[in-house]
Amino acid sequence: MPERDKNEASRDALRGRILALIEAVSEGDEKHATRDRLLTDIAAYQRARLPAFARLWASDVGFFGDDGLGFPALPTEVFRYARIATFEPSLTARTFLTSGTSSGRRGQHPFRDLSLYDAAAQAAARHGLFRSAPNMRLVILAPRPEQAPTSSLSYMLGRFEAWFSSGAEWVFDAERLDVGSLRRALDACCERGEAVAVLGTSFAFVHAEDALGQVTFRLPPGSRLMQTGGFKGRSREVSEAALLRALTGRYGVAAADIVSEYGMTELSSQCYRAGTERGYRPPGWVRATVVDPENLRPTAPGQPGLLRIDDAANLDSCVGILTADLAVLRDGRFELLGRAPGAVARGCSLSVEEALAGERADT
Amino acid sequence: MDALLDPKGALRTSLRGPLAQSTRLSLPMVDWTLDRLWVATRPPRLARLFAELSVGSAGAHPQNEPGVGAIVLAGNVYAASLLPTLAMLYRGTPVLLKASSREDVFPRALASSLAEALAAADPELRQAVVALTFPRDASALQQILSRSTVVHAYGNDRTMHAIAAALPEGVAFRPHGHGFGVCHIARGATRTDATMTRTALRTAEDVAAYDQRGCLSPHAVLVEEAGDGLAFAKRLAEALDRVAERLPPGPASLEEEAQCAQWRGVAAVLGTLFRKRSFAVSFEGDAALRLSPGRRHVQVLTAPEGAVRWAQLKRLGPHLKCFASTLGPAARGAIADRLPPGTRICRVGHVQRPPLNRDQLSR
Repeated sequence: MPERDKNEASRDALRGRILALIEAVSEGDEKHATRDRLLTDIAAYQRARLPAFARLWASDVGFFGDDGLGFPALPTEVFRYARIATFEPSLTARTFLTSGTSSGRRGQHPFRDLSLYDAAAQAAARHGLFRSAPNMRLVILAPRPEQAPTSSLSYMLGRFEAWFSSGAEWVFDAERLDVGSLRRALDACCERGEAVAVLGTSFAFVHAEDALGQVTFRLPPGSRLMQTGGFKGRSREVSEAALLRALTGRYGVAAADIVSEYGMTELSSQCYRAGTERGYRPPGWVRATVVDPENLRPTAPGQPGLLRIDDAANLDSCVGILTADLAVLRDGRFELLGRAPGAVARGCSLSVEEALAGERADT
Repeated sequence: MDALLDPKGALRTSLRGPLAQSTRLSLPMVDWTLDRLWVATRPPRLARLFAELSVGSAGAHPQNEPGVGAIVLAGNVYAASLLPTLAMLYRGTPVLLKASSREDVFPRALASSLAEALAAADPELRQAVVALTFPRDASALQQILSRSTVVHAYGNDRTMHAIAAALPEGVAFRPHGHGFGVCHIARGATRTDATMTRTALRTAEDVAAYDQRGCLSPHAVLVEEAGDGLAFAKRLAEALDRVAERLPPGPASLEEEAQCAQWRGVAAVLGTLFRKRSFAVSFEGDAALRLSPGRRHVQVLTAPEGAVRWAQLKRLGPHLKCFASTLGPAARGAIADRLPPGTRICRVGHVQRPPLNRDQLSR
């Protein structure tokens, strides 16, 4: 069999296993052994096809040694410097870029096709966000996918509109919240007694807080909020607890119905946490580990470290991802402790990184 | 200064422990940095500084400068307050040191020591220098700024912009924003085994000083002889290992370790990584320069003669604070206009020995 066909056969086989696992575990069945075998097999497949991953694996400084996880995890920073894809650029269907709010050059995550992303996103959101309500009104505090074609968040929210909604209002125009549209959309749901899911970034919700003044809503029963992301690179930060309090008061939903979503450009899958829960539960095809940043070995339960996510849906990029987030693992859930700032460190400024990014563009 | 910095003095002895705790530098590093301050403030050097300061721009002796001088400090390099404090006091300007809440041991000790010395000459002068610490409080800082006639400030660009915006008209502002240094290893410095080893050791001391936190600290080393880049990187790693034996790094926070893990991951993918717990050196050939997270993490890049990335370095502007080279004095002088204006140019091994002179007041 020609090499190209062997490659495709391998990919197809893994893809089939990933989809089967997503289907099997999305109702809560835990199949950790199956997951772990699959993750290891995906890593072996990628090692042969992703030079950056192969180099990391071969790194001989004893840094990515045997830690029981079976393969190393690629730091998210690498996405800013190397193409992380197991396929030729000509096969790229879509590329998501990391947000430009932090510093300098943006990371890129190319996709050959979005079927695994879709399967993972739909399964995780059905279980973690929409639960018993398959079709709801959506009000979305984010740019439309066509306005932000490189945003994985906008893409995902666009898919939610297709999968889970009876209709959606997008109340963000480019980078600006349309407060009037937000109020009209929520008032209409309240008048109709129609449950609504209000979805957006944490920063967009803070923006809405500033804009809405004294206006409050009593959203109908079954309504919920989903917020995602932090304040990296933004001029203003609000604590999670303060935001939760503000949102329950503003929208009249219980804390249990305010869901936080954990995702990033470098992953295909998302994790969810209800407002009253302590940590995020990874879906059954995702393995979350907290590792010591010095030696990258798993820490003891309850010990803080760097969050590592092994995402089976990342078939065409890298299955093992070392995030920049500090976390602690308890009872299978990870609690975020905040984000390590990455290369923009020690008070060093955004503009230094931007100056270096300008230099990198020339080399 | 004797009372504060004399290695045999009780004040300095009592300062070591608290300073190590507040700065999170190791005790040996605290001793090393205090020794350097001691040498830099010996009477002949102070006399030269005061002689420089005695001459105004028109060549006439300046009158006492009215008003109050404020120095707003960051916490990364504890000795930053020394030179502007001495300069302002010499000019008859009382000084208010606003210390960082992260590190106020040295500013307080400096203020106290100078106040005692001034009071010995005239009891009324005891209040000529005062150190204050308070957590982030815009209104308190505004009160200080509004009463000042000259302000030195240390911190990132955002802080500099915020302070500049808050200053009343007519106040002289001397921003000392964040930046970094670069070491340049000219061809002759790697010609023999002995010269390469010697050069690597000097470079290692520049990198290791203050645990690479200072705005002069080298983040990258440019090796002119392209074929020697990898060998120099290995030699630099050995040198950093030796330096760490007598000047161990201070304890790292989880955030710092996390940043370093990300940097090392990129290094392992892009280059050849040499590391131990106390350092990391990445040889990356002709790759672009990238910021280090500190903690003695440094890139080694090739920079062939005639193309020493001059244009790229020039684009870094005020963020390139120091260019240390193995070139001789005449050759170093000849390259000044190829670097951003104001870049400190010095010999490798002398990065953290900035001369106590008027030029440093505006860097």
